[in-house]
Amino acid sequence: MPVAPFARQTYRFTDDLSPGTEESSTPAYCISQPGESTRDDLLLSKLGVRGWGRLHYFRNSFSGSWGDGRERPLSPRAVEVFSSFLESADLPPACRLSIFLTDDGNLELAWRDDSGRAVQLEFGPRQSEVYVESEGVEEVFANEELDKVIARYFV
Amino acid sequence: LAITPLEETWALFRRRVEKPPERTLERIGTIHIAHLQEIGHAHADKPMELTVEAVPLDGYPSHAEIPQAISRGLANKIVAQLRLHDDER
Repeated sequence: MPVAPFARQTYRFTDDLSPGTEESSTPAYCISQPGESTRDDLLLSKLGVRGWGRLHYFRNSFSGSWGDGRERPLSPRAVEVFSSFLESADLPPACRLSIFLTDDGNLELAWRDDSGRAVQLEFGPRQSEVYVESEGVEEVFANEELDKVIARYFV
Repeated sequence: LAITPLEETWALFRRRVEKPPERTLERIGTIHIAHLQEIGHAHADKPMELTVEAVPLDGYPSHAEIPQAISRGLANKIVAQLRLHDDER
């Protein structure tokens, strides 16, 4: 019988109350990654309930194939760099963040600045893209350069 | 030259573009090719010669593509100039 990858043996008592084990055919629980809870708190505070809910939905429903098969699953590395950005960037407190999953499995974050102009970032597994309409900025950068991009445009 | 009326494009896009529940079709945007090219020419530091090439698909003979790689900034300018249509059914 196929078993979900994170299924574990479950503990049960047999009739004589001695411990025994059996294979579970359904996922019993998910193991959180170290720091995941802290990261979720951060994402919740920055994205708000709606944005966090969308990210949660993307992570849970689009980590496999989706659409008509040409779309790529959400990249865990894109989520990492997205989280790093939210952790370090200084975003306008009143801005309304929108989050999207792209066909390439990347995460896109968008909002309007004080003058109503578009700010958009697309986070991919290796490189990302920043667009700041008010400054005429359009850049693709390696994810290793994220700190520099934040220092240049988001502090 | 193949042309698909806007009224028929709704059904066509619902079949081919819409991917519910994550992607639903709310509006369709249209633009004249000449206007598209003007936007490309006027694009900031990187003026572009945009073209539209017919790429007929099975069941969608009027399908066409812009073969040039469009930057995010240029895409935003094009989107801002689209004439938006609501489904009036």
